[in-house]
Amino acid sequence: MNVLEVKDLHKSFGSKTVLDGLTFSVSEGSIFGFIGRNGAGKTTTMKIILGLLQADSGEITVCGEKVRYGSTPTNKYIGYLPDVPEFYGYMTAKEYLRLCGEITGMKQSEIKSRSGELLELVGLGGEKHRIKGYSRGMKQRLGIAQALINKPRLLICDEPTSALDPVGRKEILDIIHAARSETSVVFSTHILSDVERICDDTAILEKGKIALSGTVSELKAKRSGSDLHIVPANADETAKAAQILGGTVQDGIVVIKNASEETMFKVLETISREKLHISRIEHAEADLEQLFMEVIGK
Amino acid sequence: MNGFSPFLKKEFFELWRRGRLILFGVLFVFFGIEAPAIAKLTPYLFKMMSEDMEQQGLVIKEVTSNAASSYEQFFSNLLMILIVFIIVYAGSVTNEFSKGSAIPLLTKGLSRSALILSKLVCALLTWSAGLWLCFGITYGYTAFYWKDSSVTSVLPAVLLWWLFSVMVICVMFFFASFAKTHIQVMIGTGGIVFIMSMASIAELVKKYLPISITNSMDICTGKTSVTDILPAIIIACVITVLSAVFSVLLIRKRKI
Repeated sequence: MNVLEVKDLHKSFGSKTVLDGLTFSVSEGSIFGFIGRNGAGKTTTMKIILGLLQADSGEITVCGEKVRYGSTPTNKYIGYLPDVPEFYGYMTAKEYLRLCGEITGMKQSEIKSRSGELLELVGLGGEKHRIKGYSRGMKQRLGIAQALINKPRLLICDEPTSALDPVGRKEILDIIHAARSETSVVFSTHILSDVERICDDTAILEKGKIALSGTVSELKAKRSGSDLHIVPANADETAKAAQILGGTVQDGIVVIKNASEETMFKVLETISREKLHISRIEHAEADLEQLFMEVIGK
Repeated sequence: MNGFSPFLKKEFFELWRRGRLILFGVLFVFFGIEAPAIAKLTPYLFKMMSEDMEQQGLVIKEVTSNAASSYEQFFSNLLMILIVFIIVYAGSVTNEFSKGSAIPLLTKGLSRSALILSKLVCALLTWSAGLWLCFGITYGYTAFYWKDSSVTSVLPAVLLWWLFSVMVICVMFFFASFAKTHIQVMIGTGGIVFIMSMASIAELVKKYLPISITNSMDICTGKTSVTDILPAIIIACVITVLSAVFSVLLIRKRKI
């Protein structure tokens, strides 16, 4: 069953079209990576899903219920982590989670046990200080805790790792990964290594619609071939090697684009025949970054 | 109105944690004591200064104070406290949206109406409690120090001032429902009061302007009766209700 379905979504701001027939779905229990460059419309899509912004046309359903602009009842199924979450600095994490729990209509006993559980999960269990003294990473972790307080069926995270250092990023990714046991996750980002690390399904948003979608391995397989990198033993011979092998010079190495296995054998044959001195040759694994660049035409 | 009660609780908690409750408490108590104290001390101050002033050629005859002097000081203090209150509260709604602190709660089911109404209720309760506490202190001291009949009907005058302040607070929330910054809220609210006081120069419209109900000393001393300013009272009530209603309607349309 799909926990989220977005159909033919359109949204413009003045003359600028941000979403132009966006369609995708998220299946229950999966982590969905929503990839797109800055300004591609990821946050706009999420705000429309949350009923915070009105779409020009299109339909969204969350757990089978239609999303309405304003105070949408479908938000009871959703936990939301904004890109830069802002809390009340004068509260402690526990007090903030109590407020969130009360707003969602949870019982006091339930709030108490769930808060303790979540604060342990996000590593803020022993934190007694007020939120105003928190680092960005701590706020992001509290953000995940508040998003999960009412056991949502869908967790929406808007670029949760973008502003964090590598340690903070790893912590957040681990927490999101751990949360998948109880919720589906939509995770927007422009950091492709994060997607490769935790996402099951992905979609690349470009020019207001999904340019490419599928599992991470499916997307990688869609590339016709991966690049062949050849490093000559003598740097002076790089240009000559490139000419003989039919490649281009990039950053001091010879690159043969979209090289198949067959091309690889031919290149090895040529190297042997021409007695080219090579210090390293590798078939670079296709990654999402290359694919993303191809999709956005860079 | 989902989330009204927890959000109202959060508002009072915020007042307490950020020290604003103490600030308002100190302000209201201080000005409650200050009004009769100034009235009581003024004759002594003039007496002390009279010798110096005589040397400069100014002769001060006997200065007396009465209950009216105390209440006159009280009503002029109220305007000052209201300005402080508006400055402190002007960013209450706009900050929730500009900083984004309202977003997680709105996505948790807090309705926009509940957000603005709980803030309005908190502001009105705090202001009303403070105003009546301030009046209670002034009333107690004034009754203790002066037994004269210079003031005949103080309660209606305070009630009308309270109505005016409630109207100003509701107008502030009306602006807060759509304004982007607290400065815009202050300019909007201040602008409305300023226009009213400018317009009140014209005798023809004076009795319709809500600012007329703050001519408290005229009401206290019986110079103006409540029926004289009835149109202004009705208009103040209408503006209060309309501001509250429109603040709810406009915040629902607010872009986030």
